[in-house]
Amino acid sequence: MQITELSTHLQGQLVAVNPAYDIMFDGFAPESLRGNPSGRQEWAVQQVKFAALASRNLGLNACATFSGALMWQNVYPWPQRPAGLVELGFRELGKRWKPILDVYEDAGVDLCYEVHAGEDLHDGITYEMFLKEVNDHPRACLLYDPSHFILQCLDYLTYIDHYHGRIKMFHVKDAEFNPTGKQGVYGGYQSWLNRAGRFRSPGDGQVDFGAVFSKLATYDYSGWAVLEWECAIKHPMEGAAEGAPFIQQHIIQVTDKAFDDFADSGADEAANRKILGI
Amino acid sequence: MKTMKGPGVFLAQFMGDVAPFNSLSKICGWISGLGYKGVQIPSWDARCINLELAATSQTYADEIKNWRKSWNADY
Repeated sequence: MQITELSTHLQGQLVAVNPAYDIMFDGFAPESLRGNPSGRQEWAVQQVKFAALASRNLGLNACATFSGALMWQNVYPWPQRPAGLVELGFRELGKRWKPILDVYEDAGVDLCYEVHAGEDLHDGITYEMFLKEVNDHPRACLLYDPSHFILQCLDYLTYIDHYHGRIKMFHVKDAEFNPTGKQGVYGGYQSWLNRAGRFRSPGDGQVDFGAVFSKLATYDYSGWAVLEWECAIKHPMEGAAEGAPFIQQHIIQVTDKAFDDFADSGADEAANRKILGI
Repeated sequence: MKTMKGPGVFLAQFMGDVAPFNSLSKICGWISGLGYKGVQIPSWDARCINLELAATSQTYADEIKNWRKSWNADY
């Protein structure tokens, strides 16, 4: 048994919290810091920095986190967003994360943002806006979890084509999106069970994992495939038991030879010239 | 080309108040029996890790790294 990576999802969330979410996110912090947003933020920043050093000491090369959010309450442009609000938000987000990313650089660890609803980094566009604010920081990497993209109808396979160079972590998590005549992406304030978009145990949802594993293998992804288990229906014990063989069957043992090597006719420039008639 | 590593499992959703879900060594024994080769650790969960100590003490980090050996009795 090995440690794959450390996760700092809850602490990363607290690096940036809009006051609208103060009460609901307070539970992520130690009791002594509840009701104290600035103290909570300071604690969270230190925690995420600790995770860089702990990862280094444990011999790990990647760590998971959330970006937190200053703007999620403005994700839908009603009321109209005041001019400059988004630019200012990303500037502040970059200002908060840049010193943390520098600690990761010194530790030799990639900090992988899980692109996720509720975070300011919730799709490729917002990730790129963030990258600009941290000067394309080499440690500002990605945790790829296709389930969150199913729920927002984002093309989760083309996403890998765009960002494979930055994908350093991978959650194997499934989801499904079944819009009806009554609800769609917003989910009608329903429970997870009754939402059009909901998380499912791997293999029970709509993610084409054959295509996902193939793309990641094509791009030489060499990190871990890690089950993140959340399902609105299945019992967790069954999900855990099914997860290991599911992942094992999907991991592609990559080839060390070309499939048509058997028909290799050898390299011969003179022959090539003849073939081309030059 | 490279082959990815796995299967691993994120422990956050499985940690709990009763054995084997209430300590890192015990839950790893259970997870290992299911065929997983790695665990992703929620660093905020004191049942799994003392994050500050892992950041500041190489001795403690080494103890965790060698967990199979040092915590074998719990398996």
